[in-house]
Amino acid sequence: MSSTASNYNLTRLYAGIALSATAFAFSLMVAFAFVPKVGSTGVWTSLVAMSYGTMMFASSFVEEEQHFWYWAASAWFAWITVKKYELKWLDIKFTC
Amino acid sequence: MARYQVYLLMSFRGRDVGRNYFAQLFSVAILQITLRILRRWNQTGQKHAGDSDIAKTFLPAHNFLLWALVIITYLDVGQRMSRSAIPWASRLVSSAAAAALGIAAIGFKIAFTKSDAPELLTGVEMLLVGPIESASLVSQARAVFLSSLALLVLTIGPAIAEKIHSAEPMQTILLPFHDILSLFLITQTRTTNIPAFMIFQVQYHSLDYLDLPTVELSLTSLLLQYASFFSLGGSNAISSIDLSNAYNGVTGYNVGAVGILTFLSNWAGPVWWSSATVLLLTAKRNQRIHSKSSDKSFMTPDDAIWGSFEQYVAWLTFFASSSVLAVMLACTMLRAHLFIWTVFSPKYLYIMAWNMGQHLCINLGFGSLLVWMSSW
Repeated sequence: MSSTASNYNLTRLYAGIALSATAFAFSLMVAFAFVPKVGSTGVWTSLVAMSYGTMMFASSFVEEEQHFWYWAASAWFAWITVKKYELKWLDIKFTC
Repeated sequence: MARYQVYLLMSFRGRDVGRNYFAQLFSVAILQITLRILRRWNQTGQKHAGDSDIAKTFLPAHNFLLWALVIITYLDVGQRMSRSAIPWASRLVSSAAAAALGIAAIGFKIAFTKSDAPELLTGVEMLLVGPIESASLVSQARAVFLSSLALLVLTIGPAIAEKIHSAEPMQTILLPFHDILSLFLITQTRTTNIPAFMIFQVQYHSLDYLDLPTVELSLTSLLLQYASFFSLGGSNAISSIDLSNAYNGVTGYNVGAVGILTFLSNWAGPVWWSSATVLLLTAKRNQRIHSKSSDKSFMTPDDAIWGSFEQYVAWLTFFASSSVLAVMLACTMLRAHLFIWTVFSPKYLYIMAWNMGQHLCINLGFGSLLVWMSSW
Protein backbone atom coordinates (compact mmCIF):
# COMPACT_ATOMS: atom_id res chain seq x y z
CA MET A 1 0.00 0.00 0.00
CA SER A 2 2.76 2.43 0.81
CA SER A 3 4.37 1.82 -2.53
CA THR A 4 1.36 2.50 -4.75
CA ALA A 5 1.46 6.24 -4.23
CA SER A 6 5.10 6.29 -5.25
CA ASN A 7 4.91 3.67 -7.97
CA TYR A 8 6.23 6.05 -10.60
CA ASN A 9 6.95 5.06 -14.14
CA LEU A 10 10.27 6.87 -14.26
CA THR A 11 10.91 6.04 -17.90
CA ARG A 12 7.81 7.91 -18.94
CA LEU A 13 8.64 10.83 -16.69
CA TYR A 14 12.10 11.19 -18.21
CA ALA A 15 10.74 10.78 -21.72
CA GLY A 16 8.26 13.57 -21.07
CA ILE A 17 10.98 15.82 -19.77
CA ALA A 18 13.15 15.09 -22.80
CA LEU A 19 10.29 15.93 -25.15
CA SER A 20 9.45 19.17 -23.41
CA ALA A 21 13.13 20.13 -23.30
CA THR A 22 13.28 19.63 -27.08
CA ALA A 23 10.18 21.77 -27.49
CA PHE A 24 11.71 24.42 -25.28
CA ALA A 25 14.94 24.40 -27.29
CA PHE A 26 13.04 24.86 -30.54
CA SER A 27 10.87 27.64 -29.17
CA LEU A 28 13.96 29.38 -27.79
CA MET A 29 15.58 29.36 -31.20
CA VAL A 30 12.44 30.65 -32.88
CA ALA A 31 11.71 33.35 -30.35
CA PHE A 32 15.18 34.83 -30.32
CA ALA A 33 16.29 34.22 -33.88
CA PHE A 34 13.14 34.77 -35.86
CA VAL A 35 11.79 37.83 -34.12
CA PRO A 36 13.64 40.79 -35.63
CA LYS A 37 14.01 43.19 -32.75
CA VAL A 38 14.05 41.64 -29.34
CA GLY A 39 15.79 44.17 -27.14
CA SER A 40 14.73 44.79 -23.60
CA THR A 41 11.44 42.99 -24.07
CA GLY A 42 13.39 39.81 -24.72
CA VAL A 43 15.18 40.31 -21.44
CA TRP A 44 11.86 40.85 -19.70
CA THR A 45 10.29 37.74 -21.19
CA SER A 46 13.33 35.68 -20.27
CA LEU A 47 13.19 37.02 -16.73
CA VAL A 48 9.50 36.17 -16.46
CA ALA A 49 10.08 32.68 -17.87
CA MET A 50 13.10 32.01 -15.66
CA SER A 51 11.51 33.25 -12.45
CA TYR A 52 8.32 31.34 -13.25
CA GLY A 53 10.36 28.21 -13.82
CA THR A 54 12.20 28.66 -10.53
CA MET A 55 8.93 29.36 -8.78
CA MET A 56 7.56 25.98 -9.74
CA PHE A 57 9.97 24.27 -7.37
CA ALA A 58 8.58 25.96 -4.27
CA SER A 59 5.14 24.95 -3.07
CA SER A 60 4.39 28.29 -1.47
CA PHE A 61 5.06 30.10 -4.70
CA VAL A 62 2.85 27.67 -6.58
CA GLU A 63 0.03 28.36 -4.14
CA GLU A 64 0.43 32.13 -4.40
CA GLU A 65 1.20 32.36 -8.10
CA GLN A 66 -1.27 35.20 -8.57
CA HIS A 67 1.03 37.56 -6.71
CA PHE A 68 3.80 36.85 -9.19
CA TRP A 69 1.55 37.73 -12.12
CA TYR A 70 0.13 40.85 -10.54
CA TRP A 71 3.57 42.08 -9.59
CA ALA A 72 5.09 41.24 -13.00
CA ALA A 73 2.26 43.03 -14.82
CA SER A 74 2.63 46.15 -12.64
CA ALA A 75 6.40 46.20 -13.07
CA TRP A 76 6.04 45.71 -16.83
CA PHE A 77 3.60 48.63 -17.11
CA ALA A 78 6.02 50.79 -15.12
CA TRP A 79 8.78 49.79 -17.55
CA ILE A 80 6.61 50.71 -20.52
CA THR A 81 6.04 54.13 -19.00
CA VAL A 82 9.74 54.70 -18.53
CA LYS A 83 10.79 53.25 -21.85
CA LYS A 84 8.36 55.04 -24.07
CA TYR A 85 9.60 58.46 -23.32
CA GLU A 86 13.09 59.84 -23.43
CA LEU A 87 13.59 61.66 -20.19
CA LYS A 88 15.70 64.44 -21.59
CA TRP A 89 15.79 66.64 -18.57
CA LEU A 90 17.34 63.85 -16.53
CA ASP A 91 19.71 63.06 -19.41
CA ILE A 92 18.61 59.45 -19.36
CA LYS A 93 17.91 57.74 -22.61
CA PHE A 94 16.00 54.50 -22.84
CA THR A 95 15.95 53.11 -26.32
CA CYS A 96 14.16 50.08 -27.62
CA MET B 1 12.41 80.99 -20.69
CA ALA B 2 8.92 80.41 -21.97
CA ARG B 3 10.23 79.24 -25.35
CA TYR B 4 12.57 76.81 -23.62
CA GLN B 5 9.68 75.42 -21.62
CA VAL B 6 7.63 75.01 -24.76
CA TYR B 7 10.58 73.23 -26.40
CA LEU B 8 10.88 70.98 -23.35
CA LEU B 9 7.20 70.11 -23.52
CA MET B 10 7.34 69.44 -27.22
CA SER B 11 10.40 67.25 -26.88
CA PHE B 12 8.45 64.88 -24.63
CA ARG B 13 6.24 63.85 -27.47
CA GLY B 14 5.64 60.14 -27.62
CA ARG B 15 7.26 58.05 -30.27
CA ASP B 16 4.11 57.80 -32.31
CA VAL B 17 3.40 60.91 -34.25
CA GLY B 18 0.08 62.44 -33.40
CA ARG B 19 -0.44 60.71 -30.08
CA ASN B 20 -0.57 63.05 -27.16
CA TYR B 21 2.13 62.47 -24.56
CA PHE B 22 -0.06 63.04 -21.57
CA ALA B 23 -2.84 60.93 -23.00
CA GLN B 24 -0.45 58.00 -23.37
CA LEU B 25 0.87 58.54 -19.86
CA PHE B 26 -2.74 58.59 -18.70
CA SER B 27 -3.36 55.29 -20.50
CA VAL B 28 -0.55 53.56 -18.65
CA ALA B 29 -1.79 55.03 -15.37
CA ILE B 30 -5.24 53.63 -16.16
CA LEU B 31 -3.65 50.24 -16.78
CA GLN B 32 -1.98 50.32 -13.38
CA ILE B 33 -5.12 51.48 -11.57
CA THR B 34 -7.35 48.87 -13.21
CA LEU B 35 -4.78 46.19 -12.44
CA ARG B 36 -4.89 47.22 -8.79
CA ILE B 37 -8.68 46.93 -8.79
CA LEU B 38 -8.49 43.52 -10.43
CA ARG B 39 -6.01 42.32 -7.84
CA ARG B 40 -8.65 42.73 -5.19
CA TRP B 41 -11.47 41.25 -7.25
CA ASN B 42 -11.02 37.72 -5.98
CA GLN B 43 -8.76 36.63 -3.18
CA THR B 44 -7.13 33.37 -4.17
CA GLY B 45 -4.31 31.30 -2.74
CA GLN B 46 -3.85 29.72 0.64
CA LYS B 47 -2.14 32.32 2.75
CA HIS B 48 -4.92 34.91 2.73
CA ALA B 49 -7.76 32.55 1.94
CA GLY B 50 -11.04 33.93 3.12
CA ASP B 51 -9.87 37.52 3.21
CA SER B 52 -12.39 40.06 2.06
CA ASP B 53 -12.40 40.90 -1.61
CA ILE B 54 -14.71 42.59 -4.05
CA ALA B 55 -16.49 39.58 -5.51
CA LYS B 56 -17.22 37.68 -2.33
CA THR B 57 -17.50 40.39 0.31
CA PHE B 58 -18.15 43.83 -1.10
CA LEU B 59 -20.51 43.23 -4.01
CA PRO B 60 -22.80 40.70 -2.29
CA ALA B 61 -23.24 43.24 0.51
CA HIS B 62 -24.28 45.87 -2.02
CA ASN B 63 -26.69 44.04 -4.28
CA PHE B 64 -28.01 47.15 -5.94
CA LEU B 65 -24.50 48.22 -6.96
CA LEU B 66 -23.71 44.71 -8.13
CA TRP B 67 -26.70 44.50 -10.44
CA ALA B 68 -26.20 48.07 -11.64
CA LEU B 69 -22.64 47.14 -12.66
CA VAL B 70 -23.80 43.89 -14.25
CA ILE B 71 -26.49 45.63 -16.27
CA ILE B 72 -24.05 48.36 -17.30
CA THR B 73 -21.64 45.67 -18.51
CA TYR B 74 -24.38 44.02 -20.54
CA LEU B 75 -25.45 47.39 -21.92
CA ASP B 76 -21.87 48.18 -22.89
CA VAL B 77 -21.47 44.88 -24.72
CA GLY B 78 -24.89 45.33 -26.29
CA GLN B 79 -24.22 48.81 -27.62
CA ARG B 80 -20.87 47.68 -29.03
CA MET B 81 -22.65 44.79 -30.71
CA SER B 82 -25.31 47.07 -32.12
CA ARG B 83 -22.63 49.23 -33.68
CA SER B 84 -20.47 46.51 -35.17
CA ALA B 85 -22.64 43.42 -35.70
CA ILE B 86 -24.24 42.62 -39.05
CA PRO B 87 -22.28 45.31 -40.84
CA TRP B 88 -24.20 44.86 -44.09
CA ALA B 89 -27.56 45.74 -42.53
CA SER B 90 -28.84 49.02 -41.18
CA ARG B 91 -28.01 49.96 -37.63
CA LEU B 92 -31.71 49.66 -36.73
CA VAL B 93 -31.72 45.99 -37.59
CA SER B 94 -28.48 45.26 -35.82
CA SER B 95 -29.57 47.26 -32.76
CA ALA B 96 -32.78 45.26 -32.60
CA ALA B 97 -30.87 42.00 -32.86
CA ALA B 98 -28.29 43.10 -30.27
CA ALA B 99 -31.04 44.29 -27.93
CA ALA B 100 -32.89 40.99 -28.22
CA LEU B 101 -29.72 39.05 -27.50
CA GLY B 102 -28.85 41.34 -24.61
CA ILE B 103 -32.25 40.99 -23.00
CA ALA B 104 -32.11 37.21 -23.36
CA ALA B 105 -28.64 37.18 -21.81
CA ILE B 106 -29.59 39.39 -18.86
CA GLY B 107 -32.76 37.39 -18.30
CA PHE B 108 -30.79 34.17 -18.23
CA LYS B 109 -28.24 35.63 -15.82
CA ILE B 110 -30.96 36.82 -13.43
CA ALA B 111 -32.79 33.49 -13.53
CA PHE B 112 -29.52 31.62 -13.10
CA THR B 113 -28.53 33.74 -10.12
CA LYS B 114 -31.91 33.03 -8.55
CA SER B 115 -31.15 29.34 -8.55
CA ASP B 116 -27.40 29.52 -8.01
CA ALA B 117 -26.91 32.35 -5.51
CA PRO B 118 -30.30 33.76 -4.42
CA GLU B 119 -28.69 35.93 -1.75
CA LEU B 120 -27.39 38.16 -4.54
CA LEU B 121 -30.98 39.05 -5.44
CA THR B 122 -32.18 40.16 -2.00
CA GLY B 123 -33.32 43.73 -2.30
CA VAL B 124 -33.44 43.73 -6.08
CA GLU B 125 -36.35 41.37 -6.63
CA MET B 126 -37.78 43.90 -9.09
CA LEU B 127 -35.44 42.33 -11.65
CA LEU B 128 -37.22 38.99 -11.37
CA VAL B 129 -40.01 39.56 -13.80
CA GLY B 130 -42.50 36.82 -14.57
CA PRO B 131 -41.21 35.50 -17.88
CA ILE B 132 -37.64 35.29 -16.59
CA GLU B 133 -38.65 33.31 -13.56
CA SER B 134 -41.01 30.93 -15.30
CA ALA B 135 -38.87 29.90 -18.26
CA SER B 136 -36.53 27.00 -17.62
CA LEU B 137 -32.82 27.66 -17.26
CA VAL B 138 -31.90 25.18 -19.95
CA SER B 139 -34.10 26.78 -22.57
CA GLN B 140 -32.91 30.26 -21.65
CA ALA B 141 -29.27 29.22 -21.89
CA ARG B 142 -29.86 27.56 -25.22
CA ALA B 143 -31.71 30.64 -26.43
CA VAL B 144 -28.73 32.81 -25.56
CA PHE B 145 -26.22 30.45 -27.20
CA LEU B 146 -28.26 29.96 -30.34
CA SER B 147 -28.99 33.68 -30.70
CA SER B 148 -25.27 34.46 -30.35
CA LEU B 149 -24.52 31.88 -33.01
CA ALA B 150 -27.23 33.31 -35.27
CA LEU B 151 -25.85 36.83 -34.86
CA LEU B 152 -22.37 35.53 -35.61
CA VAL B 153 -23.52 33.74 -38.74
CA LEU B 154 -25.43 36.81 -39.90
CA THR B 155 -22.31 38.92 -39.38
CA ILE B 156 -19.83 36.61 -41.03
CA GLY B 157 -22.02 34.90 -43.64
CA PRO B 158 -22.16 37.66 -46.25
CA ALA B 159 -18.40 38.14 -46.01
CA ILE B 160 -17.92 34.51 -46.95
CA ALA B 161 -20.60 34.62 -49.59
CA GLU B 162 -19.39 37.74 -51.32
CA LYS B 163 -15.66 37.19 -50.71
CA ILE B 164 -15.17 40.80 -49.94
CA HIS B 165 -11.80 41.96 -51.13
CA SER B 166 -10.87 45.53 -50.71
CA ALA B 167 -7.72 47.59 -50.42
CA GLU B 168 -8.29 47.77 -46.69
CA PRO B 169 -7.87 44.55 -44.75
CA MET B 170 -10.91 44.43 -42.60
CA GLN B 171 -11.09 44.51 -38.91
CA THR B 172 -14.84 44.84 -39.24
CA ILE B 173 -15.50 41.14 -38.75
CA LEU B 174 -13.19 40.76 -35.78
CA LEU B 175 -14.86 43.51 -33.79
CA PRO B 176 -18.37 41.98 -33.73
CA PHE B 177 -16.82 38.57 -33.19
CA HIS B 178 -15.04 39.93 -30.13
CA ASP B 179 -18.23 41.52 -28.80
CA ILE B 180 -20.31 38.38 -29.29
CA LEU B 181 -17.52 36.37 -27.68
CA SER B 182 -17.57 38.82 -24.76
CA LEU B 183 -21.27 38.23 -24.32
CA PHE B 184 -20.80 34.49 -24.43
CA LEU B 185 -17.97 34.61 -21.88
CA ILE B 186 -20.01 36.89 -19.62
CA THR B 187 -22.84 34.37 -19.80
CA GLN B 188 -20.39 31.73 -18.62
CA THR B 189 -19.10 33.84 -15.72
CA ARG B 190 -20.29 34.11 -12.17
CA THR B 191 -22.47 37.16 -11.57
CA THR B 192 -20.00 38.83 -9.21
CA ASN B 193 -17.20 38.50 -11.79
CA ILE B 194 -19.09 40.15 -14.64
CA PRO B 195 -18.09 43.80 -13.94
CA ALA B 196 -14.45 42.70 -14.33
CA PHE B 197 -15.11 42.41 -18.05
CA MET B 198 -15.80 46.12 -18.18
CA ILE B 199 -12.42 46.66 -16.57
CA PHE B 200 -10.84 44.41 -19.22
CA GLN B 201 -12.47 46.56 -21.89
CA VAL B 202 -10.99 49.70 -20.34
CA GLN B 203 -7.58 48.03 -20.30
CA TYR B 204 -8.01 47.04 -23.92
CA HIS B 205 -8.76 50.62 -24.92
CA SER B 206 -5.72 51.86 -23.01
CA LEU B 207 -3.52 49.33 -24.78
CA ASP B 208 -5.07 50.29 -28.10
CA TYR B 209 -4.16 53.91 -27.50
CA LEU B 210 -0.62 53.08 -26.40
CA ASP B 211 0.05 51.27 -29.69
CA LEU B 212 2.81 49.01 -28.44
CA PRO B 213 5.16 47.15 -30.80
CA THR B 214 4.36 43.50 -31.43
CA VAL B 215 6.96 42.03 -29.10
CA GLU B 216 5.87 44.19 -26.19
CA LEU B 217 2.26 43.51 -26.97
CA SER B 218 2.97 39.78 -26.77
CA LEU B 219 4.47 40.06 -23.30
CA THR B 220 1.63 42.34 -22.19
CA SER B 221 -0.92 39.86 -23.48
CA LEU B 222 0.77 36.98 -21.68
CA LEU B 223 0.86 38.89 -18.39
CA LEU B 224 -2.72 40.04 -18.71
CA GLN B 225 -3.98 36.58 -19.63
CA TYR B 226 -2.55 35.10 -16.47
CA ALA B 227 -3.51 38.09 -14.32
CA SER B 228 -7.10 37.97 -15.54
CA PHE B 229 -7.31 34.24 -14.87
CA PHE B 230 -6.32 34.76 -11.25
CA SER B 231 -8.37 37.88 -10.71
CA LEU B 232 -11.53 36.08 -11.82
CA GLY B 233 -11.00 33.51 -9.09
CA GLY B 234 -8.68 30.96 -10.63
CA SER B 235 -5.87 29.49 -8.62
CA ASN B 236 -3.61 26.46 -8.59
CA ALA B 237 -5.96 24.45 -6.43
CA ILE B 238 -8.46 22.01 -7.89
CA SER B 239 -11.08 23.32 -5.48
CA SER B 240 -11.23 26.66 -7.27
CA ILE B 241 -12.57 25.17 -10.51
CA ASP B 242 -15.98 26.74 -10.93
CA LEU B 243 -18.60 24.29 -12.14
CA SER B 244 -21.64 26.50 -11.69
CA ASN B 245 -21.77 27.51 -15.36
CA ALA B 246 -20.59 24.21 -16.75
CA TYR B 247 -24.10 22.84 -17.32
CA ASN B 248 -25.69 25.84 -19.03
CA GLY B 249 -28.02 24.41 -21.65
CA VAL B 250 -26.92 20.84 -21.05
CA THR B 251 -29.61 18.43 -19.87
CA GLY B 252 -28.10 15.00 -19.93
CA TYR B 253 -24.71 13.42 -19.49
CA ASN B 254 -22.49 15.12 -22.04
CA VAL B 255 -18.78 15.02 -21.33
CA GLY B 256 -17.72 17.07 -24.33
CA ALA B 257 -20.12 19.96 -23.89
CA VAL B 258 -19.66 20.16 -20.13
CA GLY B 259 -15.89 19.98 -20.51
CA ILE B 260 -15.84 22.79 -23.03
CA LEU B 261 -18.20 24.94 -20.96
CA THR B 262 -16.13 24.32 -17.81
CA PHE B 263 -12.95 25.35 -19.60
CA LEU B 264 -14.50 28.47 -21.10
CA SER B 265 -16.09 29.37 -17.80
CA ASN B 266 -12.83 29.16 -15.84
CA TRP B 267 -10.56 30.53 -18.57
CA ALA B 268 -12.98 33.31 -19.55
CA GLY B 269 -10.41 36.02 -18.82
CA PRO B 270 -7.56 34.51 -20.87
CA VAL B 271 -9.88 33.66 -23.77
CA TRP B 272 -11.15 37.26 -23.77
CA TRP B 273 -7.61 38.56 -23.82
CA SER B 274 -6.45 36.30 -26.63
CA SER B 275 -9.27 37.66 -28.77
CA ALA B 276 -8.49 41.24 -27.72
CA THR B 277 -4.80 40.75 -28.53
CA VAL B 278 -5.63 39.60 -32.06
CA LEU B 279 -7.73 42.76 -32.40
CA LEU B 280 -4.76 44.86 -31.29
CA LEU B 281 -2.38 43.03 -33.64
CA THR B 282 -4.61 43.44 -36.68
CA ALA B 283 -5.20 47.09 -35.81
CA LYS B 284 -1.44 47.61 -35.91
CA ARG B 285 -1.25 45.83 -39.22
CA ASN B 286 -4.01 48.00 -40.68
CA GLN B 287 -2.26 51.10 -39.46
CA ARG B 288 1.00 49.97 -40.99
CA ILE B 289 -0.66 49.27 -44.31
CA HIS B 290 -2.32 52.66 -44.34
CA SER B 291 0.85 54.56 -43.56
CA LYS B 292 3.31 52.68 -45.76
CA SER B 293 1.30 52.18 -48.90
CA SER B 294 4.01 53.80 -51.06
CA ASP B 295 6.91 51.96 -49.47
CA LYS B 296 8.61 49.64 -51.95
CA SER B 297 9.90 47.27 -49.31
CA PHE B 298 6.44 46.88 -47.89
CA MET B 299 5.21 43.34 -47.53
CA THR B 300 1.95 42.16 -48.98
CA PRO B 301 -1.02 42.39 -46.63
CA ASP B 302 -0.88 38.67 -45.97
CA ASP B 303 2.76 38.82 -44.94
CA ALA B 304 1.96 41.72 -42.69
CA ILE B 305 -0.73 39.71 -40.97
CA TRP B 306 1.35 36.64 -40.31
CA GLY B 307 4.42 38.64 -39.42
CA SER B 308 3.07 40.12 -36.23
CA PHE B 309 0.88 37.17 -35.35
CA GLU B 310 3.77 34.75 -35.83
CA GLN B 311 5.94 36.84 -33.54
CA TYR B 312 3.19 36.88 -30.92
CA VAL B 313 2.80 33.12 -31.15
CA ALA B 314 6.58 32.63 -30.98
CA TRP B 315 6.79 34.53 -27.71
CA LEU B 316 3.81 32.79 -26.19
CA THR B 317 5.18 29.39 -27.17
CA PHE B 318 8.53 30.26 -25.64
CA PHE B 319 6.87 30.90 -22.31
CA ALA B 320 4.53 27.93 -22.64
CA SER B 321 7.32 25.45 -23.32
CA SER B 322 9.52 26.83 -20.55
CA SER B 323 6.69 26.61 -18.03
CA VAL B 324 5.85 23.05 -19.04
CA LEU B 325 9.50 22.02 -18.75
CA ALA B 326 9.78 23.66 -15.34
CA VAL B 327 6.67 22.00 -13.96
CA MET B 328 7.66 18.60 -15.32
CA LEU B 329 11.11 18.90 -13.80
CA ALA B 330 9.67 20.04 -10.50
CA CYS B 331 7.17 17.19 -10.35
CA THR B 332 9.83 14.63 -11.19
CA MET B 333 12.50 15.94 -8.87
CA LEU B 334 10.07 16.53 -6.02
CA ARG B 335 8.17 13.29 -6.42
CA ALA B 336 8.94 12.35 -2.81
CA HIS B 337 7.97 15.80 -1.49
CA LEU B 338 5.22 15.99 1.09
CA PHE B 339 3.11 18.25 -1.10
CA ILE B 340 3.47 16.29 -4.32
CA TRP B 341 -0.18 15.35 -4.51
CA THR B 342 -1.71 18.44 -2.90
CA VAL B 343 0.22 21.20 -4.64
CA PHE B 344 2.47 20.01 -7.42
CA SER B 345 0.23 17.62 -9.30
CA PRO B 346 -2.76 20.05 -9.31
CA LYS B 347 -0.26 22.54 -10.74
CA TYR B 348 0.66 19.95 -13.36
CA LEU B 349 -3.00 19.54 -14.29
CA TYR B 350 -3.41 23.28 -14.55
CA ILE B 351 -0.32 23.56 -16.73
CA MET B 352 -1.83 20.93 -19.00
CA ALA B 353 -5.06 22.92 -19.21
CA TRP B 354 -3.16 26.15 -19.80
CA ASN B 355 -0.99 24.74 -22.56
CA MET B 356 -3.28 22.28 -24.31
CA GLY B 357 -6.40 24.33 -23.81
CA GLN B 358 -5.46 27.99 -23.66
CA HIS B 359 -2.24 27.91 -25.65
CA LEU B 360 -2.95 25.32 -28.34
CA CYS B 361 -6.67 25.65 -28.82
CA ILE B 362 -7.34 29.28 -27.96
CA ASN B 363 -4.17 31.28 -28.58
CA LEU B 364 -2.94 29.27 -31.54
CA GLY B 365 -6.05 27.71 -33.00
CA PHE B 366 -8.69 30.31 -32.28
CA GLY B 367 -6.19 33.16 -32.76
CA SER B 368 -5.19 31.83 -36.17
CA LEU B 369 -8.84 31.57 -37.10
CA LEU B 370 -9.41 35.19 -36.12
CA VAL B 371 -6.35 36.39 -38.04
CA TRP B 372 -7.47 34.43 -41.09
CA MET B 373 -10.95 35.93 -40.79
CA SER B 374 -9.52 39.41 -40.59
CA SER B 375 -8.04 39.04 -44.04
CA TRP B 376 -11.37 38.39 -45.75
